[in-house]
Amino acid sequence: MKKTKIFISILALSAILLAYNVFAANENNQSGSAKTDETAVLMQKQKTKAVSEIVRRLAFLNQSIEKIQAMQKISSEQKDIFKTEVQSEIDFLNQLKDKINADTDKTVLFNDRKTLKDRYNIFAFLQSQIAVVSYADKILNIVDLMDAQTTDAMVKSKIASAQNKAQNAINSVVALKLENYPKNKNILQENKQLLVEARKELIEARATMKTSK
Amino acid sequence: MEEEETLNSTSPSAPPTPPKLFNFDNFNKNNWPWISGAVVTIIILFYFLFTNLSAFNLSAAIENSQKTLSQNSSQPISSINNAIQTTNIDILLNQLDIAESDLTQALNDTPIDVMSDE
Repeated sequence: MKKTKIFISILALSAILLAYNVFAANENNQSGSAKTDETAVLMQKQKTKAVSEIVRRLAFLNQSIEKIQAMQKISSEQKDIFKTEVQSEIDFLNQLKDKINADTDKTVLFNDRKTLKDRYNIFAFLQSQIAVVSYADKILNIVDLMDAQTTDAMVKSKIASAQNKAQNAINSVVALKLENYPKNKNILQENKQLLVEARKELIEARATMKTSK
Repeated sequence: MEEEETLNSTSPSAPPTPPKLFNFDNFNKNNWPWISGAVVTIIILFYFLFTNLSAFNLSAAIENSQKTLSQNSSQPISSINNAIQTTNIDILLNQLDIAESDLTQALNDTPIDVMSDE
């Protein structure tokens, strides 16, 4: 009888231990899957944000390609250089977008996001450089048209001044190096100011041409 | 009674003929060449009148268009080109607005913060 009691006690104790272990394991599993869900949601948010930035950059770069194609006063060699640089960045961003969308590991995704962040300077430089050259190119085209229509010395001098400013802006910006960005951003801004002045001169010259007719 | 006698006096074998609307007896006899000639002459006259009138109008229209063409062609081509270029210049000057705002946007661009974990 005593042996039976001891046996039953051991059996009950084992059952309690077993039940406890099973319960603990279940708890662990539940908290583990919750953590996995949270990581997946966070990764999805990070991916969405990164892809939005890539799409934004791609839109601007595609516009830059159109601007390069419309340029008339830039040598075809220079246009080819611009196109190659922009196209290479477009290709890189497209590949990065696919990679980010396919990422399953949060460390890999982190590295890809960092690459995208570090790559921003290339985009910002190309976008600004091409915008300056495109603006200056448009001014030079108008200069040609206006100069052919006037003999007025004052008007011609204003047109010539605008031409010099636009040409200087192109020369200065084309010579800038990507690796020096954003240190050389102030040069881009100075050239923008030059082009704003050139545009003002053309508008004034145009007004004089109209009144003298 | 007298009336009855009169009616009875007409023979039943020859019924009364209705009066003729046009009497071509004389026409057939003497005047048909003159009348036919007059009708044909009038038709010919009308024909020539209408055809010449329309031809006249047509030639006047051609003459007018030729005059307009010659006036236009006498206007120097260079002045037309100048007018086109004048319009172009104004349009192109206005388009510089877009180029300038594109440049401003490029220089002030701000990226999305892809490293934040929100």
